[in-house]
Amino acid sequence: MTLQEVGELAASGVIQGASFGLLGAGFGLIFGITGRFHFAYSSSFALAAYMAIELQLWGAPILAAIAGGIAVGVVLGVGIERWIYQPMADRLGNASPFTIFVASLGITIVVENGINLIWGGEGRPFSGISVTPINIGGVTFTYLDLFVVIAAVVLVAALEAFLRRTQAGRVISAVRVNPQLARGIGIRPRQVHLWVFAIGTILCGVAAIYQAADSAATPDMGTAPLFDAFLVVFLAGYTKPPSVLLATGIGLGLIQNLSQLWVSADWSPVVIFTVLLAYLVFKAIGVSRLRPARRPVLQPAGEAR
Amino acid sequence: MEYTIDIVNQILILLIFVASLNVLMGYAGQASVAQAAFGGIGGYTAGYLSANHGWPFWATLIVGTLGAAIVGTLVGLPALRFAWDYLVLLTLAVATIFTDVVSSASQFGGAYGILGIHPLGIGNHQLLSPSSMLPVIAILAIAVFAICWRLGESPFGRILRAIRSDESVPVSLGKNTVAIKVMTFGITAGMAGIAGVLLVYYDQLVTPDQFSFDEAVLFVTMLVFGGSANLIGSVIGTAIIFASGPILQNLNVGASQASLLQLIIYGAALVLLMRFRPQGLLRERREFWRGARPAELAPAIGLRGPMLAGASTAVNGQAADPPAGAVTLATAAPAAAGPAPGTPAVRPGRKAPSQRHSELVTTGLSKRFGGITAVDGVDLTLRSGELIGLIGPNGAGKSTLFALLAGFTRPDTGTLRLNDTDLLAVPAYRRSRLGISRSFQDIRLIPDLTVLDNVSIAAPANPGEHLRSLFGAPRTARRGETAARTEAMEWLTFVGLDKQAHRLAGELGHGEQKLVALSRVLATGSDLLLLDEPTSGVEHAWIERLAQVIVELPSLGRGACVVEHNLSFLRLLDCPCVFMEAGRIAGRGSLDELMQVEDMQKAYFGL
Repeated sequence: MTLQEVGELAASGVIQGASFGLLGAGFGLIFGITGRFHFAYSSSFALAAYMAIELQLWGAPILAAIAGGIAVGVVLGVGIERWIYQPMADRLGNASPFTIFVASLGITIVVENGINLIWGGEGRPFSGISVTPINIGGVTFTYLDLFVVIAAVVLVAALEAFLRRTQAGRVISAVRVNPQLARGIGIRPRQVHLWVFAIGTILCGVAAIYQAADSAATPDMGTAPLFDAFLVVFLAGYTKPPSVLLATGIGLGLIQNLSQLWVSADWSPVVIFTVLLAYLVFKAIGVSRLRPARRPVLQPAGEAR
Repeated sequence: MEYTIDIVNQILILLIFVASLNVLMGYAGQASVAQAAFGGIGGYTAGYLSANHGWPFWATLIVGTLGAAIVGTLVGLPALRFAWDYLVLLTLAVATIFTDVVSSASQFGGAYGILGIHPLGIGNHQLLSPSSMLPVIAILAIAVFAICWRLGESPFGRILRAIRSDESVPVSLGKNTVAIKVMTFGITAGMAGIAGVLLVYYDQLVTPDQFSFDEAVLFVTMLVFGGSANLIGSVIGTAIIFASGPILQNLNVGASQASLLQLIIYGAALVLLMRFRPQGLLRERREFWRGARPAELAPAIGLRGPMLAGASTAVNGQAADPPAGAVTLATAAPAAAGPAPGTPAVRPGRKAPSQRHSELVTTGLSKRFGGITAVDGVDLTLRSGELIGLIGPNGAGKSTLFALLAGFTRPDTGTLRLNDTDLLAVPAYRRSRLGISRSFQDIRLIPDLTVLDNVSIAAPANPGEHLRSLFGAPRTARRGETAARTEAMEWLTFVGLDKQAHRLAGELGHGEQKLVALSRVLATGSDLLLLDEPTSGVEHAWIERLAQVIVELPSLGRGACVVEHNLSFLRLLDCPCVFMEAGRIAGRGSLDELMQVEDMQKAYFGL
C-alpha cells in the first residue's frame, strides 16, 4: 500500500462520508425531534433525484432543476407528516411509533414502485455538474465530489447555527425537550414538526442529487442511504447536534473506504455491519454493567423521546 | 387442479413467514424487516448444499433452519437489549447486507442465483408436481403454525404481550425479558429459514429476488391486514393478499406493470390500514386459556363472606361503593355458610405467613442525574412483617429510591443488601424472584389483557411460561398455569375484584386498576413490596379498601414500603414513617411525630 493509495481512499472516504453526514443530520433532526421512525425518508430521497432529472429534461437550468427536485421531495416528506403521521399519532397516542413505522414501510413500497412504473427500472443519470477529474497532490476527485463535501459542510454549519442562534431554532429545541411545555408557552409542535421534516428532507435531497449525478437514479436508490442515515444517527446518538452527526458520517466513510486496504470493496458493507455490531455489543456490555439500560428499554419508546 | 394446489402451496409457504413474523411483531411488538433475509439464509444454505454438494432435502432443511436461527440469535443478542428501533436498524442491516452479498458473491451465482437444486424425493421417487409436494409443505406449515400458536396463545405469549405493552412490567415481575425476546427472535428467524428452504425446493432455484426487501414488506402487509397478534388473521391475510395477485395479473396491463401495480396497491393498503384500522381484520383474542373459567375456579377459592372482619367493620359501614366483599380463602372450603362476624381475618390459603425473614438494608445510597442529586445518602431498612410509610414532597427522590431498590436504576454510591445478597449485582428481573417487587405510580396494567391475566402473569416460576414445559411437558405447563390463575383469582378476590376478572384491564376505572396492580404485586409472592403511591388518583371509597388490604400484609408475613402523599391514608395504615426531602431522609417516626418536623409542615401545609 502506498501513501497515494491511502490518500485516494481517504479522499473518497471523506466524500462518501459527507453524503452519510447529510443523510444522518437530516434523519437525526426528524427522529430526534418528532420521534417518527421515518422509513419513507428513502422515498423523498429517490423522488428528489427523479424530479431533478425530469426538470432537467424539460429544459430547466441546473440550479432550478436541483432546487425543484429537492422541493418535490420536501413536499412529499412534509405531506407524509401532515396527513399520515400526525393523524395517526393523534389517534393512537403512545402506541403510535410502531404503527407509524409500519405505515412508513408501506409508503416506501408505494413510492419505489410508483417511480418504477412511471420512469422504468433503468438507471437515469443527472448530468450537468462537472465530473472532470481534478488532481491535487496525487489525489483525484471531481467537481461533483467537491460540491457534495462543500454542500455538506455549509448546510450542516448553517443548520447548527440556525438551531443554536436563532429564535426559530430555539423553538425547535424546545419541542425536542418537552412538547407539552412548549405548547404551554405558545409554540405549536405540529407546525414545528412540519418545519423539521422540511429541513431534514432538504439535507437528504442534496445527497440524492449527488448520488444521481455520481452514478444514476434507480427506483430503489433510497434504501441503502436510508440505512446509512440510520447508522449515523444510532452510532452518534439522535440527540447530538448536526455537526457531530456529520463528523460521524465522515468517520464511517473513512472506515468503509480505508478498509479496502485490507478487504475487497465487495465486502465493505460487511465492514460497516461489523462496526455496528461491535458498537452494539460494546453498548450492551456497558448496559449490563449499568443494568438496566441507560436508554430506557424500560419506558415505552414513545415516552422516552 | 394443479393450478389451485400450486396456489395453496405458495400460500402455505408464505404463511410460515407471516405467522412466525406475527409472533415476533404482533405478539412481542418487535419489528423486523429481515424476515425475508432470514428465509434467504435458509434458502441459500439449502440451495448451495443441494446443488453443489448433493445434500438430501432433510439435511439441508435442518442446516438451513439452524443457520437462520443462529444468525437471528446473534443479531438479536445485542439489539434486543435496547428499544425496538434498534432491532429495526439491525434487521435492516441484515436485509441490506444479505442482498448485497448474495447478489455480488460468485459462489452464490450473483443476480441469477443457484440452479440445479436436486428435487425433493422419497426414495427414488422425485416429487416435482405441486400436488406431490403438497404433503411435505403442508406438514411443515402446520407444524410451524402449531408452534406459533403455542408460543403466542399461552402464558409465554402473555409475557410477549406484556413486553409489547411496557417492558418494565414483566421485568418488575421477575421475567427475563431480554432472554425471552432473543429466544423468540431466534425461533422466528429459524421458522423463516424453514420457509426459505421450502421455497427454494419448490421453485427449484435460489435468487436474491425471492428474499428481497419487498418480500419482507409484503409479509408485514399480510400480517397487519389479517390482524396483529391474531394467527387466524395471518392465515386470512396471507390467503386474501396472495389470491389478489393473480386477479391483478389478469387486468389488461403488461405483466411487469401488473406486478408493480400490485406492490403499489399492497403498500397503499398498508398505509390505509395503519391509518384507519391498525388492528387489522381480526382483533387480538381476549383470552387464550380454555380451562380455568370462573366456574371452575370458584371451588378452589372457597366461600364468600366478609373478610378482614375485625379491621374493616368500621370502614365497611361507610364505604358502600367498593365491592363489599371479599372472601374467605380457607383451604378447607366446605365449612358451612358465611363466617360469623368477628371471625379472625382469613387469607389466601397458600399465603400462610412466610417462614423466611427478609431484610432489605441500604446504606448511603446515592444517585445523581446531571447536577441534581435525586437520592442522597439514604439509609433504610425494610423487613418482612413491617410496614413503612415513605413521605415527602414531589421531587424528594422517593420514586428514584424505589427505582434503585427495584434495580431500574443503578446507584452511584452506597450499598444495597437483601439478607446476605448484594442486590447491586442482581439485575432487576431477578430481584423480584429474590423477594422484592415494586408497583408503579402510573399503574401500568397491560390494557389488552384480561384482569385475570394481568395478575396471573405475576406468578413466580410458572412452568406454563417456559418453552421446555410448553412443548415438552404440556400437562405440567397446564397445571402450572391453572395454579397461577387460581392464585391470581384468590388475590383478586382478596382485593374484591373477582367479578371483574374476565374484563380487559383497560376497561376498568382508575381505582379498580390500582387494586389490580396491587393484586399483581401481591401475586409475585415477594416478601417485600415497594408500593408507589397506591392511592394517587383513587376515589375515597377505594382508599379505605386499599388500606384494609395493605394493613393485612404484615400478618401474611410480608413487608411493604408505601410511598404516599395522602396522610389520612397513612394514618389508616398506622405505621412508622420516613420523611424524605431533597434526596435525604429528613425525619423518622410516627406520622404524628413527623408532623412536628418543620420541613414536613412546610411541605405539606405550607407553613
